[in-house]
Amino acid sequence: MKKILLGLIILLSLTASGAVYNLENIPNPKVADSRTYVSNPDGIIRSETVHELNVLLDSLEKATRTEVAVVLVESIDDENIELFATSLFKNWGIGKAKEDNGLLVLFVLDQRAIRFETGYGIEGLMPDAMASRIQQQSMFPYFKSGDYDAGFLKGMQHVVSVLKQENFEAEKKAIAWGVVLPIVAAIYLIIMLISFVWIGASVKKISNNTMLKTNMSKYKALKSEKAGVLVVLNILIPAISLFVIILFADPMLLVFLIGVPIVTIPANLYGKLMMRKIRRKPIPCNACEGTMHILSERKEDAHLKLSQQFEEELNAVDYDVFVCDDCGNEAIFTLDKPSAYTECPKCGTKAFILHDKRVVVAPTFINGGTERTTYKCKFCGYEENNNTHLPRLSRSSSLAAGAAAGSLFSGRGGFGGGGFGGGSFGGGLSGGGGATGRW
Amino acid sequence: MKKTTIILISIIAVIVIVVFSGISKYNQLVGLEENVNSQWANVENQYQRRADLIPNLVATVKGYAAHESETLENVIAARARATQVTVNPDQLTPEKLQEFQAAQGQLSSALGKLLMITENYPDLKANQNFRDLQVQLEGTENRISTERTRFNEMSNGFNSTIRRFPANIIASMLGFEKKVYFEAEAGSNQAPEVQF
Repeated sequence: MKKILLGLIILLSLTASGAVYNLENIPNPKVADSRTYVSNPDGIIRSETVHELNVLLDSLEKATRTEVAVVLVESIDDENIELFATSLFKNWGIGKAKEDNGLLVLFVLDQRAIRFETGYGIEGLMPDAMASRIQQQSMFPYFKSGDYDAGFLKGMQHVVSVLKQENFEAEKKAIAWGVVLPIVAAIYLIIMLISFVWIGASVKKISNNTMLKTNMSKYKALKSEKAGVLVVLNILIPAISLFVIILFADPMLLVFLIGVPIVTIPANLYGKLMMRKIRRKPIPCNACEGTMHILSERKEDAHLKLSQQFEEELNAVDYDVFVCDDCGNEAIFTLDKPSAYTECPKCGTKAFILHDKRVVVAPTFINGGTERTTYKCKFCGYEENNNTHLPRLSRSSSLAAGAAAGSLFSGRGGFGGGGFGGGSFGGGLSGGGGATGRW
Repeated sequence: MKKTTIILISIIAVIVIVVFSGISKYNQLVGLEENVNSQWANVENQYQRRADLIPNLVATVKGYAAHESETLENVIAARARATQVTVNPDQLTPEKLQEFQAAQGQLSSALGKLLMITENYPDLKANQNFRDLQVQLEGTENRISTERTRFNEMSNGFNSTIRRFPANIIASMLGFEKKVYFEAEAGSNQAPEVQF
């Protein structure tokens, strides 16, 4: 705050004395407000004229992206106006960085000189002869009678009519596909290899793990291990690269993130295969010296109860039946599958599911209501009803919700957002082009 | 960890750091040198632009001041000499630059004389085509001085970089040489005299 005040005081004192400006203390119009283009610290033209010029030049930038800076000062001491303009142009970076589509209009009263400094990008659009003609035809007739307001309005309208002829499209960043694609392919390959090696290591570790006694427990362990590996590869890697891409590179590269889960598919399939293999591995018989082999889905039905067959049909549980080759001893292993079914309280079959849900008594603003949920076992037909109390309808709560939603949306409104606050010119460069005129 | 492995690893780490910083320094020098070269192209461009303007200017002046043929011929001859001297940025030696500057300087002085005699022809001065050409010529002279200044700045930046440690080691090892500067032309510090 103090600094701003101090700056203001210095500015005011400079204004009062009609100061001599150098490259450092010439006020950059874009710093205060990115929609202003005119720097008129000595009040050489009226503030209404400044406003009109700002509107004119803002519409030019909106339409063509060309940036024009207008500077009017009393004096730059004995500095050469051309050198001064070139340096000021470079310091402020008028025009967009790559296109160099900027124009600096520098007016120095005590030298009775005006310079149009053209950026590299508009040298073709506004050759020096054209710049000189604009000065001669549209500005000097008014300048000679001391009417700088009219001179600037007419001159800048002329300038804008010339610069309007070319649009500088926002540059599209081209991605060097030739460089990017091999890198991406290599990264994909690496991820694919990592996924294979990692899952292979897990398979090895789990199948040799003596702590996991049954095939089923090994199967489950491998399943969770594989899921962990895939989560790391499919989510963590893309998440990290998402950050990297957003921070440093083109958003177009995000497309490649889609490929990451695809390249892990082979390893995923391999893992699934190994899971199946581990589950179906022959086990030693616990009754005799022989080995037990798994039965196929069709053959195992003879060894399962009706309820178990029904559960398999519902895809709620998977049963593996192992039979000993020698003594005919059988062993059944159970795998709970993720499903909506729960165990029936009556028959114990995993076939109990939400059957019906209805409002028996509708809630009003005065009384609460009742909702009845019915669970039914698909195997034995057992039903269970549950009544839940529905709360009384409430006006105030729905109003509050509406208000909250309302405030959320209105919060997004606000004032246009753009424009106010500091800004700068786009970083363009001139090469000493343009024209200087004296009247 | 054993003591020897720690020592080995730190030696390797130091070597890796040195090699990588050397590579990045080398790349920086290459980039700076490339900047100087492309800036030289900008300088030559602007001189070429001036040379391209001259035939037009001579033709315009000829219509009004036919009997100044000696001055006009001088300009044409100087232009012809100047356009012959081009310098490849790779062979930008002080001698070559001297030669280039001398040729362009002769053209400058011939042009100056031409513009001086045009002062005597009011009809010519009123000619819109001539006025446009004059503005273009002034603009081009200004561009030339801007690009020359920038060339000097870039040469200066390159030269001060290759003299600093540790870039000087790499520069001397890989043969990066000092870049030349434009020097003020003889007599350019005196304002040209205009006689009426």
